[in-house]
Amino acid sequence: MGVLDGTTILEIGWNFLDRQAAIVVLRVDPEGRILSANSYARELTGLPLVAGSLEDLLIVSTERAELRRWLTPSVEPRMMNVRTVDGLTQTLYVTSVRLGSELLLFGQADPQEQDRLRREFLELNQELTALGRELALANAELVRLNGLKNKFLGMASHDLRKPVGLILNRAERLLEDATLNMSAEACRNIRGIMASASSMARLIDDFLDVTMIEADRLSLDIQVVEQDGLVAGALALVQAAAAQRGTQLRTALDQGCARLRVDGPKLEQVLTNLLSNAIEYSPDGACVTVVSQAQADGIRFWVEDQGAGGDLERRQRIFEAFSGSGALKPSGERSIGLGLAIVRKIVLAHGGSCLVESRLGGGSRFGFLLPASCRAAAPRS
Amino acid sequence: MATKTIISEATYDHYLDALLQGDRPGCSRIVQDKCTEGAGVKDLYVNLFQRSLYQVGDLWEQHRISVAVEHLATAITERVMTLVQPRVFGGAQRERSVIVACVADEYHQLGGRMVADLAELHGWRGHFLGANTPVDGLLQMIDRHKPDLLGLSLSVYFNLPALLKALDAIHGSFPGLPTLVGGQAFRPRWGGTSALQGYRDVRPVMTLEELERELTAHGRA
Repeated sequence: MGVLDGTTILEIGWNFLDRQAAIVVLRVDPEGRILSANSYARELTGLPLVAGSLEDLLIVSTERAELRRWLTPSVEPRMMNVRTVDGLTQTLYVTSVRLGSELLLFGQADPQEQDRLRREFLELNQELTALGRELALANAELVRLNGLKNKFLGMASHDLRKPVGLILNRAERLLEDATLNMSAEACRNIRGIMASASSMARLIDDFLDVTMIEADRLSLDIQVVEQDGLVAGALALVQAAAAQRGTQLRTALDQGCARLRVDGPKLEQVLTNLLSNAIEYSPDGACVTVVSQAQADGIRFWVEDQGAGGDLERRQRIFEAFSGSGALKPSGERSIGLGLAIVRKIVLAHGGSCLVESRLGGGSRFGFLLPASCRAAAPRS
Repeated sequence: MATKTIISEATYDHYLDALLQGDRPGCSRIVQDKCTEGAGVKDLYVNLFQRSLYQVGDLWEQHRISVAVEHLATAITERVMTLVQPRVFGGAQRERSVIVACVADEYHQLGGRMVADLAELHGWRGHFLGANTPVDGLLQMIDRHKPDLLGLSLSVYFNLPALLKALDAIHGSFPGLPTLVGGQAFRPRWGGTSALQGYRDVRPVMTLEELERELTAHGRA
């Protein structure tokens, strides 16, 4: 058998197609049963193919319904989407020739299409990584600016605290000094100064709290505290504000969580902030109630008011710092929007989450859920 | 001057092997481990990413790996570089800035990205515009950021005309803007640097050490 023998060349060509070429070669009978499949077809699909149906290759049900279409010979390449061994799909461009009653199908991918796809993916990856870099850079800049903001806020608050304290102190001394014999109007004015200075002092404390929290300097001192004492402490701190508005303060405490394992002063601050808001946003003479519920998933605390309530959209962001800034309180004061942000940070630090339920015109209740681990056992008698 | 390294030959071989196998998680693990061990950004860039990609390039030139393997290795490197990114940015406000870009039709962006990141490490703000930046886009970004320095990366020597076109346009609009050019196209075997001789404010930079010296010099200016 010579080297140029036609049979030999055909044999070499067929062997190449059968074992090495990246071309799918299938021989099918008139019913679509696969009589033989080359190595590439089996590797591509991960199926034995032989004795199976051409249908097994097709992924789209409408294509399966049109099996007949594939059993007619075509020299024009037709697109066939097949399922591959790795679960992806691949498009083969299929031509076919009739061999007696059988059909020989040749399917291959379009290399130009694959090149285009590869190039697009590479460019996309480059664009994404370059964008990711820009994002990381912008993020770093935001972190730096936020740090500067906190630093400024901390320094300004710290510097303001002392003069505001002095104003309060001296105004108080003026009121107490009987030798001055001040008129009723002068006393009213001094009380007005004291009220404004107290409000400013609270704001400064909020700024300092936020600065400390933002700088990740919030550390908890976890102790076992009595629930009754904790709530009473918070109520005492808002008593004056409540009296001014004629607000009735009530409690409905679940004694199933009589002892708590928490940072007492910080949780008292949480309750105080919630109570202050509830008093501020309720009409004069309303009732504000502190409720606790010991439940399987943890301990819930609620502060319920009889205010105007709010809409759902606002609720989503209400615990974020400055989210309510600029809003007008019922008293006419401008809200800074830090109280609930401080609540959120302290509750989160305890492993808890914040809660809010509100209905327009039906009052609101703000609260938090502490993990069950915050419940301390009752002392042994 | 060689970069001080904590990347051993065994680690490098392991990484290169993973890279050539297209093993993205494997490469990520090695980079994460080295970050945890305290490897510096420059150490990783020079002794892991740059060295391995140079070797990938050599293997590709010798027809020992396919184009697909080379592309995948580049894409994996782009990805694992993002693991190092949080350590690149941050710190004090940047007084000086550099824009780094690849000119039109230049799709090899990794070197440029490394340059922008190293500039950040040297206290510069490194704006990286990515691959295939059209001249108009580049001019707009220069106008917007008013950089103190421009860096242009060229990997494929045959894109040199695009680089020269960009340089003409840039120095027409922003005369005197100090410009550094670098990349594989300027390796001695290609000799791209001779084409730059007519540009007064353009300096070729062949190594990252040279780049650092330039950044220091321009930082003082």
